[in-house]
Amino acid sequence: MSNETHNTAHGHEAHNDHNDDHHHEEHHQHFFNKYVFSMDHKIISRQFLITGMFWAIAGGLMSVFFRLQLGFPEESFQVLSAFLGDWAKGGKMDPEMYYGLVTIHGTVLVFFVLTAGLSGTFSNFLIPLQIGARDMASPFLNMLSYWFFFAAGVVMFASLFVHTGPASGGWTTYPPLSAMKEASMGSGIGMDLWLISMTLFIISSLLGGLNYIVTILNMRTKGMSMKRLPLTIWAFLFTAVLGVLSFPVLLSAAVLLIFDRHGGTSFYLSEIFIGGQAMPNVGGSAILYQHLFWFLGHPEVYIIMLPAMGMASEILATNARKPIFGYFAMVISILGITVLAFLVWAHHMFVTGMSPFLGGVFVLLTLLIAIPSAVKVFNWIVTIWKGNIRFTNGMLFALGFVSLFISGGLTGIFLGNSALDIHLHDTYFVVAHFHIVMGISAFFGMFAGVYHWFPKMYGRFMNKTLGYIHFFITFIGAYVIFWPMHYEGVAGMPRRYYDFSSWQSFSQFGDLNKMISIAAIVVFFAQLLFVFNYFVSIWRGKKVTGEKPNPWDSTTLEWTTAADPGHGNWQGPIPEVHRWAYDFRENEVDGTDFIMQDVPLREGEEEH
Amino acid sequence: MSTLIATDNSNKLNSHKLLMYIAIGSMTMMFAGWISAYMVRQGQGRWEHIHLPSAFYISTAVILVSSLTIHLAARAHKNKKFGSYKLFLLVSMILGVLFLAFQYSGFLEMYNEMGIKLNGNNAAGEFTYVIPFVHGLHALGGVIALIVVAVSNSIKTKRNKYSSTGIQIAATYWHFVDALWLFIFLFLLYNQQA
Ligand code: HEM
Ligand SMILES: [Cu+2]
Repeated sequence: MSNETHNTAHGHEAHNDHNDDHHHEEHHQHFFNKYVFSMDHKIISRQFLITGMFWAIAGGLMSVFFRLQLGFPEESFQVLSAFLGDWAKGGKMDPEMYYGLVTIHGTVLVFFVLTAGLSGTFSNFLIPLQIGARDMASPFLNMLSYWFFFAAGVVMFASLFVHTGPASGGWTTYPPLSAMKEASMGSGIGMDLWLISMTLFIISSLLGGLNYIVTILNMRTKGMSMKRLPLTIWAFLFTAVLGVLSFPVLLSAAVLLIFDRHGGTSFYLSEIFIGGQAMPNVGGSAILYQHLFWFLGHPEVYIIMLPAMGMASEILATNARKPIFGYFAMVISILGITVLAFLVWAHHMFVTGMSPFLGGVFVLLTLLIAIPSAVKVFNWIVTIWKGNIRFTNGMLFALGFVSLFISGGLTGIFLGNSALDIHLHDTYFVVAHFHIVMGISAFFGMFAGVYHWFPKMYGRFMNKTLGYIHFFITFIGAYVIFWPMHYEGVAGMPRRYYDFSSWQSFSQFGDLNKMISIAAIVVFFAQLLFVFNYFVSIWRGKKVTGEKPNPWDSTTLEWTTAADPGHGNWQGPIPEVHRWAYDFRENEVDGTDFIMQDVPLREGEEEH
Repeated sequence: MSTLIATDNSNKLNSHKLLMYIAIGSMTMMFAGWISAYMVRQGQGRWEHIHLPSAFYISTAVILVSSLTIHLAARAHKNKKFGSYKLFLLVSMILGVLFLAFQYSGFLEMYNEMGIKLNGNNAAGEFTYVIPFVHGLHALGGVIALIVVAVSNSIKTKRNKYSSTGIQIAATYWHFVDALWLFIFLFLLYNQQA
């Protein structure tokens, strides 16, 4: 790193905050303070990313294991007993473990990877850099946010090793399986650990979200009005708003669950028989839990989606060398999605016996979400239309993101109609819908972001060729895995079953399931390619050049910093902002095709 | 330029205050979760109405008064009247602890005298334990916050530094805890026969 340049540049300039003293200490800082208990948002962001990668590999591996079971229910695999020990005696997975793996797979991918790994990484990295701040409003809370996440991970990981197995009632942890210790093996200590872990996780994401909102509202540099913010920042802002208002409700649900498990209450329990024995609990309501869960659950899917949308907007515009189309409409759509996200939760509950009238209201509200979603898709397409497209790795993943979002969004419209959903609910159609629209497409947004901002994170590029291979295998593989699931779902094949082979009506899908499993394994190994590329490039990647490297010719402020800027981001004063974030057009001064945000308006020039 | 940035920020709301306001929004959502759970569950029938323990009436009065004293403490600190600041802060802390004590005796009253047990078949009673209990955790957090502020302010005074942000934020939180309890109390009261 360039500590030398750093300190000389620093000596002359006035700083306006605490980071001033910090720079002097940098040489003497211990490894521990610099890389472990760091308060630098850039380090914290990498901690989130690498922890997220760990969980993505773990969660992905779990899916490989249960796909082996689904694709090859008759066979046995040594690798299963190697990893799962007694849970896969003779290479055949125990059904309890199958449910445990599905549950933990869902939980860690939704929360640890696509929430913490995505928002945690990029909100942390980009908010201060793109709005022109030296760090978050509260670097300390920011650090706590990471360590709560870390602790949540430790507890969740530990739950895999308890003798009754991890929680196994699905990532939605519906009662009674989650509320009665006796209900199944995974309902015991595994479920308690799940609740502890999720509580820690909720605290982590609240601390993070509070910080992101305050930083965006309060810490923008001079001239960075809200209407000059890059769309990434708008997306992170509304993501944080969604999280701050919906995660607490999940906590309410979890607290009542804890009381049901350990306090003798029956909020969620009624008239349950276990092994012919009647339980004392009467009058509780499992549906109540579903309402509380989905009040978070639906906003949660947009917590995952919005950051990917914001980053895709940024990367598409940059690599199409065109201003984003409909900036204002984009902001309004994000706002619209945020508001509607709170009003549609019951579309996950059409089959719980709700009144058809109420169902109708939720159908209407649900289908309304298609409007802002479609506006965004339209604007992305117009943005790249007739653009001067540069097919970087980041761009490919951003394009893949748009494709997947369209494919998965369309099936949402099927599900949003209660009349169709009564047939499709709890089938593989739903699995296909949410994996394409949320799982894979958010992953693509995340990959796009990593390839695009890697040079800013580490001052080096990731290997391009490996990036292309990674992209094509993942993109084709994703469709091969999830597209056929729509057909299975329409045929009525239910989700969350361990073995379909004894089921006459689905025997036609035996070969299809094999193919899906094989594709899943291939795609999993392609992700290891990415991980390899990432870590090798940190030390061996091609270096970015220039004093203030701007490898993609972007306009935003993060590219006005030095290659490795250290804590405080700008060695001199923070740049002032004079124009919006998407000034891609002929630059008469230097003959390029973009003008950065800190370039003053020329004489006679009107602002966008 | 850095001075310009500083002036630019100075007319914005203090970051820590803003942080507290948003956190209050967040906590409000959590309690909205429990309150709506109460209503949904009540709507599903099998519901025995219960009366509130008398201790809850007293605790309500106590916490209302404490809101007044914390307000006076914050104002005194702002006007640099440190004598009355200390007095009112101390009184607020005592009232906070008193509030918790009355809540606790309310639970005992419910359990021992009114015979409301947690045996899984009295939803109204269960909610009447759980919602005040989780509120009580927040009140406990408030008392701890007051202690932290008192200590850190006295350290600051020794070093001749002055800032009333800490006490203001703690006061805001305490008012929230107070208003929240008032709402919960009236809500439970309204539902005891309704
Ligand atoms: C046009 C937009 C969308 C509509 C109308 C829609 C509608 C629906 C409906 C009705 C269901 C319930 C299906 C059932 O269980 O029977 C559902 C499930 C789901 N959707 Fe969407 N959706 C849309 C977009 C999205 C997006 C953008 C995401 C994520 C970013 C998403 C994530 C999910 C998830 C995770 C589930 C399943 C959860 C589970 O049961 O485990 N959806 N969607
Ligand atoms: Cu939904």
